Order: sequence, then structure tokens, then C-alpha cells
Amino acid sequence: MKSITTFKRGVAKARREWQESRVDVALAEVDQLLAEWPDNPQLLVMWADLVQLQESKNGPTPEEAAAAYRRAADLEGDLPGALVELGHYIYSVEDDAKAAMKAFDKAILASRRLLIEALLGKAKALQELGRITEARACLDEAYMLRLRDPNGADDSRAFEEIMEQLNEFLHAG
Amino acid sequence: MNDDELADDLIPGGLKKLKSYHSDYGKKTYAEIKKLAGANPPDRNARQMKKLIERVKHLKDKPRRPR
Repeated sequence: MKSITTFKRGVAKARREWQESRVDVALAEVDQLLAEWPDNPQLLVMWADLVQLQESKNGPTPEEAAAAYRRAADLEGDLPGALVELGHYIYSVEDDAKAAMKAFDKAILASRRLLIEALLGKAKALQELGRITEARACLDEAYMLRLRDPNGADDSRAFEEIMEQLNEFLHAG
Repeated sequence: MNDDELADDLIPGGLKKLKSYHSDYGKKTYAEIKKLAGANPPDRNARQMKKLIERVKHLKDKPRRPR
């Protein structure tokens, strides 16, 4: 039976080994975790990061690392962390600034949308707690971020949601 | 990352298979590579080596960064 505790413990162990520059040990730990959670985006990103740090020339290739970043991004509907790493990889390893920019743009868009969602959620929680000024600040921030989203209007309800909440505040005084 | 370290000591073996790794720059220091990369006209190979070195630094620092 797979347990979340095992997962967390394994990830923590791999990070410790990585921090101590024991890349092969960290990679072996992530390999083991991936055997149990093969399509876990967090593990795929860690694996790809570590592959690039290994000293052995006979292990998985940098190209396999890039494929793992892409898979992680796909699996979680454009996971920002995977897209950021993919962007760095394309920029530094493939030496392709134009293609890197596309990955970074996708990461920025995905991160911004995630942040808007978080700000809207926090605004609701703060409102319920009567912390109206802070809630309003969250909505203002979400609104400003939303304005920078080049094509958000058609595929997200964030804008309407922000306006609805702002309206509620206005009517509540 | 120390400016006096040699590129070959900073770039792990796994990345030495890449086209953007240039073995003839392996014995140059990071400082020398940065200088060549920033020269006018820029040295493309040095620029690629600099990117690889900085990529490694980014990845080594990653577990220390807040999540």
C-alpha cells in the first residue's frame, strides 16, 4: 500500500542527499519513488534536475531529463515549476533563447493564474473573518494580475469572480 | 561558485556529452570563460560553457531554496 508518509519521507531524503552533493544517492532514491509513483510531476522534475548533475556519462541523458520536464508539465496542466525548469534547460543546455522564452511565457501565465486563484480564495476567507481591508488588498492584487493576462478573458472566470467580490465589498460599504 | 575553478571541475560528466560542452574550454577557469563570453565579438563556445556552468549552479542550489 502506497502511503503519503513514505512519499514525503523519500522526497525529504532525496533533497537532503542532493543538498549534500550526493547526487547518485539522491537519484537512486527518486528512482525508487518513481517506481511507486511513476507519473508524479514533482518526482519527474526532481529526477530531471538530478540527471543533469550526475557525474556518470552512462546514466540517463540530458535529453531524457528534458522529456521528463515536458511530461511533468503536461501531467499537471502546465505545472509552473516544471515549465520554469524546462525553460532554464532549453536556455542553458540547448542554448535556444527563443524556445526558452516560450516555456517561460507558459510558466508565467500558469503561475499568474494560480496566484489569482489563491488570492481570490484568500479574499473569501479574509472576508468571512471580517478582515475586509486585507481581503480588498487580495482582490486588488488579483485584479492587477488579471489585467496582465493576455488572453484570460475567454477561458477563465477569474475576472468575473474578482468583479463580483469587489462589488460585494462596495455594497457592504 | 568560485571564479578560479576550472570548467571541467564545475560541469558534471553527464552534461559533458552535450553539443554545447566544448572540451577545449574545460581547462579554462570560470572567470576566463565569463570574460570570453562577454567579449566583443562574443565567443559562442564560451557563452555555451558559461550557460552550462550556471545551469549546474542553479541545480545545485535548488534544494536550499524555499519551496
